Amino acid sequence: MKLPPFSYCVPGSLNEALGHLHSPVHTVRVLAGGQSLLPAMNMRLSTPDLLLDINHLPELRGISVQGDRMMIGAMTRHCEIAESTMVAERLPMLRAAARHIAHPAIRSRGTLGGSVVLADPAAEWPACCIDIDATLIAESDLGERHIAAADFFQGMYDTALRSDELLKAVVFPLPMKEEPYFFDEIARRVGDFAMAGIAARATAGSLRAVLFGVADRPVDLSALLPSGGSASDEPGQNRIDETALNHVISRLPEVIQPMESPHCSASLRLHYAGVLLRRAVQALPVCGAQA
Amino acid sequence: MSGTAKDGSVSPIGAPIPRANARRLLSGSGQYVDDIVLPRMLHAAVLRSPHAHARIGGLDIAAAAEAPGVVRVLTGRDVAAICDPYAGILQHVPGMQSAPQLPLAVERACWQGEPVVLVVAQTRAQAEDALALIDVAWEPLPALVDEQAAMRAAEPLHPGLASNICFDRTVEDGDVDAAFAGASQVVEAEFVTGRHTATTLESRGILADYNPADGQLTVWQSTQVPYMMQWILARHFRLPETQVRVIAPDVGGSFGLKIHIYGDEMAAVAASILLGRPVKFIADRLESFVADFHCRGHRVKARMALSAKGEILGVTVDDVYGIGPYSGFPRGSANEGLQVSNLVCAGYRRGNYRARTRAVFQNKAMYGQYRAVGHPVACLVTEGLMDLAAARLSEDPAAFRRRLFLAADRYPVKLAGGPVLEKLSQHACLDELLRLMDYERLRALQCEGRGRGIYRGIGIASFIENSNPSAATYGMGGVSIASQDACTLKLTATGSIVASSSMTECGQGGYAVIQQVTAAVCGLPVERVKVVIGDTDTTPVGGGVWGSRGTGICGEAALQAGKALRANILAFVARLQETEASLYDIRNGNVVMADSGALVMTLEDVARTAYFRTDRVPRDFQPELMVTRSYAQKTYNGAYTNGAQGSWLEVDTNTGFVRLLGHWVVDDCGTVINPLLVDEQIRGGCVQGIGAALFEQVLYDDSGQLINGSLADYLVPMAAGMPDITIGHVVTPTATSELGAKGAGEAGTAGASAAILNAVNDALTPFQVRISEIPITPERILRAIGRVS
Amino acid sequence: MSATPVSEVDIRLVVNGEAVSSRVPVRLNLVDFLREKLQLTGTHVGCEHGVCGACTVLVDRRLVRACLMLAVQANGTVVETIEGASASGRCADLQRAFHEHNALQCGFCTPAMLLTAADLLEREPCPSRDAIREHLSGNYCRCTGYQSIVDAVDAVACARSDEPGGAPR
Repeated sequence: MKLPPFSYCVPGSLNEALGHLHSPVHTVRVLAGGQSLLPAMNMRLSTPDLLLDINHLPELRGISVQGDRMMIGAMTRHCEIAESTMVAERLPMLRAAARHIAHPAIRSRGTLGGSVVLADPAAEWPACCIDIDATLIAESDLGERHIAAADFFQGMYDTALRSDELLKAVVFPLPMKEEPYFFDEIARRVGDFAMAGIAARATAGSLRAVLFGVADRPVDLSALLPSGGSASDEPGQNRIDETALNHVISRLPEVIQPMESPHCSASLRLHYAGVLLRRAVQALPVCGAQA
Repeated sequence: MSGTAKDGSVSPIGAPIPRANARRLLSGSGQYVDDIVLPRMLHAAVLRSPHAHARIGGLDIAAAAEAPGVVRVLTGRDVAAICDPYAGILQHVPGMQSAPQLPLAVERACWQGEPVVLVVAQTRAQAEDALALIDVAWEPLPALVDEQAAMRAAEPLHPGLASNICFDRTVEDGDVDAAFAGASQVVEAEFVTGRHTATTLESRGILADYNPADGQLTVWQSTQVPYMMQWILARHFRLPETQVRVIAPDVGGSFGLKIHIYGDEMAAVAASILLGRPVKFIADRLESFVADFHCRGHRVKARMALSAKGEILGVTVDDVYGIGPYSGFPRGSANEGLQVSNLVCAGYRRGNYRARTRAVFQNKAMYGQYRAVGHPVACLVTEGLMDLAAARLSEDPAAFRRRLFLAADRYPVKLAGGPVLEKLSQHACLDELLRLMDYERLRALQCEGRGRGIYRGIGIASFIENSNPSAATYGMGGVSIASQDACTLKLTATGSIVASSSMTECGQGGYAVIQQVTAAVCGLPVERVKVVIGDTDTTPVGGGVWGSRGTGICGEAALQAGKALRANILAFVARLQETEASLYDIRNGNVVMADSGALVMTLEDVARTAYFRTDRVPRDFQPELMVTRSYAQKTYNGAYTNGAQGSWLEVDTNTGFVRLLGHWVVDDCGTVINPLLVDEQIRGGCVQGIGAALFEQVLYDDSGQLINGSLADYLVPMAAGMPDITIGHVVTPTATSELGAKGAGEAGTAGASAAILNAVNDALTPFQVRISEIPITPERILRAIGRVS
Repeated sequence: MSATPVSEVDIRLVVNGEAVSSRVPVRLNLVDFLREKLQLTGTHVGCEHGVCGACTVLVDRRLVRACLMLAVQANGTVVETIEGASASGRCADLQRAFHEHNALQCGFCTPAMLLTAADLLEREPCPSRDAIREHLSGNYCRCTGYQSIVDAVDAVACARSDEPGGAPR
């Protein structure tokens, strides 16, 4: 369909933008990359009164490293993350994840912030944020608020962001040395929404793994995975053994409430969660403490 | 005429020449319906029923009529006042019934998506804004969704009809019950195919321009069949046919979608007539899912009886498919079922036969032809049964088929139900297929892989595909669709040829076929032949393209016209020279001495003399350098073609995903005009068949709501994941024409799904499971092998 | 640009090398702007979902879905459509190769397919067939089955690398 009627404004500063969020009269939607909002509006499923275009806010752009943290502005495009040498060197999981997002033309426009705030259960960035223990920086008239990724994603299209806030940036802690990572998803065709996906890394002798696409929000498997023990640099050594892995996989239903959809049943999602966890464990060297 | 001519030049027939009419498409200067802008043009949007079945209690369009930019709001009654109702009934299908239908629903909507109101405004956006202001007092009614439930329903969907069965047809040959009683083995399965939607990249569109000053209706439409449209528009809007002109501009894919009558398009025409202004309606992607005719969606119970010696004693088929609430107009929604019931195991010595097909009315989207019409389902069932039988008899599937093919030298073969197989080349195609695939090597790789827990499979599908249909398809059913086509050739003043043909183009290469045949027969370079197609004002009457008839029928008409023009040219030259025509030939655009090749006259000289220097033409002689010839295939119901497909794939038993490692097709379409075109038609058709096998299905819930009606949820093949497809040819020209060409457009689709399904089952042999439903989703595979419960 | 809500905006941009200024409704998307206001009908509308890829154009040298961008968002940008790429000769070798390989039938996907293929070859001069398939996956073709398109792109990649100064294969 053609877009419904709406008013449009392009604030030139973050403060200006925040001012528009308060309108008592209008329903306001924030236009970031537009790759999710505009299809919904093209189908007239979303009909805001006011579209707030945040594509010209300098405060929301840029990838920078400060000490042991990398800050990525909310309006950074997926393609910019995929092509950034800084990201490739310090947070290669993000580069791997970016390549799974849709297709090149979508990646040109879609943004990290837009994806994170939308919190589609099948999105790649939320799982990466949780797995890397990122912090989300929100801004409102009351100032900045730092929200741990683990607390940010609260359900399908539901986050801790308040209606008077905009997401400004995502801050990723940088590992001191290179961390092996594993990122993968299972989708019917290249670029399709994941039926299940995993963002995982080996850090300090432990396996951190976050599933996405299987439930209404990313699922951190930390509670299920064995941790501790001495770190080992030798690939092939100290893997989670087959028994431990099978045990964790059998316990996945405890932490996952899988979604049911026409293309993918809940049982299939659970099965895929196990398949992906197995792939991650086989790819990453981790300590094999008793489960 | 094909091959190398006496002077060493290569004939255009058989030449892989790039298409002349593709250049403008490459530069973005194609012209599709939505690219056309006319002065004072208006745009239409359609209010559609949100319910699968509901009475229209009341309709309040007042607010919509006053909305910004809105010029007119048409209800069902407005359109009914100027458009006669229609029903898609084929008179030669006994007992076929369907209720009359109007473009916009008047009292009752019978499918989610049925058009109810047409809003015409300055812009499409404004028209859509106004839709939201229309108030309809819907009274939902129970929806009949499931085919079985619809068949058993106590009250038919349409009070005027006896039942919900559109038609019930049984084809019988011999005593099949006795055959099964005496069988040594019986194999059986229930085959289910998903319901599909064509998903042409350019959606349907029409631009209707009625000029009240002279009563002329000009319609640009994305269509395969302008003459059919012209006849129907004239008939149903009660206009003289000579006042209706239909033009097919560039068409962005059709595959059988754009040959039907759609209520939204008819309503747009009505709007133009009532307003006296151009009205454009483009079905956008979202509405196309509920507005386009769907297809496939069969449930087929099939059984095969085998003798102790491994012969087929008999085959039974029970096919049921749902066709929405009305049979599609004008072609009827019967052909899918007719082909299924005609063709199961038709290429084999199938013994006794009984096949029943029933089309059922239901509250889902309407239904019609789509590439290969019924053949893919017949092939799926046939080749599935053949694999089951081969496994039961412990015979190699390829050898089993070869043993049971109809004898290569006993054609023609008349099938129960009417079709005649003129001459098939099944042995040759299968042999070539196995050679191209390196069948033995693949079997060895399969065996070796199984040892390592890698599950690869080979699927073979021998397919039969109708082409060059006669009047048996439509004319004899009382439907005004031409089975005859024609070509007018004119020699231009500068010695080129313009070929005006009833062929149409939707990307398959219709233009190129006419150009190459004309050039070959008339003896001039391809670049000097221009082709005019797609306009009822400027082309001869004909059927256009559907049913793989373009090359065989339109091409033959061009050939005959070319022969006639050539003969006239040579007779003219002979008269001027006062000699015999047999002394001359036309080569490379010149009239030459046939034996030496010496130049006699250029074609430009011929034209100039005939047109400008009539003083030099003998008084008793009038050269006719513009000729028309027509052709119809009248020998058989259709010229059946055949081929064989092979699929080599790997099933990941962890994820249920299927990786296509290779695909081969050997096709026999008779004389090949341009191998580049034929090969790409086959590949495109295969990928659609692969889509059917692995991805495509429209999903309805119990209340008749389409639940995956968007391009994100209805999956079609992408470039990644599709195999390279190797193609071979066997050439068995049809004797029904001089050109000898049969159709190739539907061959790929006819056999691909069967090859894939057979390959998946072959891969899963160690698990002793059999899948007989497509699409073969990962979930279906994992459930079948017990990895997911 | 305005921080006050508006329903129409004056935009200035460069399209196919020409400066364009226009007053557009804010709800007009880029593909409809190109097709209706500038009569550049080579870019096609296939779905308005952002899925089929038929509307693909270049904005500031990046592939974008013109159905998922507002015309007002193109203010201040440089846009290239198939008409511009064709007139400049930028993808002439791809057009020739598509023609020779019959890598188009109905032509509806073709303009976008050409721009996407050109983008691939700029980023990756020697892509494998699988890489070609993956990059083109965001562009649906319902006619060809894709193989001839892959063949055409592959042939151009080879030819470009055979030229002096071309990337080695």
